[in-house]
Amino acid sequence: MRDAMRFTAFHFAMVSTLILLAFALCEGLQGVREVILPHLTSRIHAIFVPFGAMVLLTWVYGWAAMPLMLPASVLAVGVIVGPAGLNWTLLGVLAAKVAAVPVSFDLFRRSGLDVRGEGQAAHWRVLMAVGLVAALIGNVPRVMAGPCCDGFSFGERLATYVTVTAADIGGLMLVLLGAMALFRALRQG
Amino acid sequence: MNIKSVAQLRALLFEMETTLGLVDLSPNERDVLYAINEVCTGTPKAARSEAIRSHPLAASIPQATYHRALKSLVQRGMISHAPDTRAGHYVLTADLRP
Repeated sequence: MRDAMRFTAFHFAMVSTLILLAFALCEGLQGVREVILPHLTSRIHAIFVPFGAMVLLTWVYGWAAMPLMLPASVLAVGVIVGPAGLNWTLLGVLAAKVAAVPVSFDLFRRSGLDVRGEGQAAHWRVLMAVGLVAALIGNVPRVMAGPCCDGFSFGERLATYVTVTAADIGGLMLVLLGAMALFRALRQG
Repeated sequence: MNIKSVAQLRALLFEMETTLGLVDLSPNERDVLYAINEVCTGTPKAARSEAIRSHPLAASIPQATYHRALKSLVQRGMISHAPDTRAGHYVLTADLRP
């Protein structure tokens, strides 16, 4: 029993650290963008690194990733928006975004492409496709009900939807490239 | 998460490296990998070390070179030691393309 708790605590700590680091990196990139392009006042990230981390972690852990990722995601968002900005709507939008990732993996599995299994489906291009579907699903609540789009017209919401989905895919690509570079360095080191 | 998941992740990332043109297998590594693919049976696909070694593609490779190629393929995550079986069995972690 104690070993199981220690095992769970280790994985919870590791996943939480990765999610928090992803959010920190994302905010860092946002800061760089604000310095280079100060006229762009939008709070929407150009590359959303945490999404890439969520996809990779879900690839590893499956549905078990969700309870591992959600607390750290809530904490990170809470730090970014401040306690006043953390409301039930935002929490719901965040939970939907996190849940969309294992849902997408499941949809692909049910259609015969099990990215987490063996064989041809275990390919990075299929993983990118899973990420795209997860982003498309997870960003609907965000643009329909999230605080980012209060008062937006339908056209503005649509533009935001495309932007945040592209940011998610950018984040996924960045995380995959980063993981690839890390394994490459470990192999050559 | 287990060792097989990590091996599969490494294989996926290695596939990405290959697609981006960042890595090439040596001819011996390629031959050993093809030999493993040919002799693999069952689900998941596994191959006995003796069967791999006696395949025509791997049989002509010098012993030390063969074992280095095998070790390299394990490190790249393209194959892994089969879990819960006798020693000397290898599992393919990614499908091959020539």
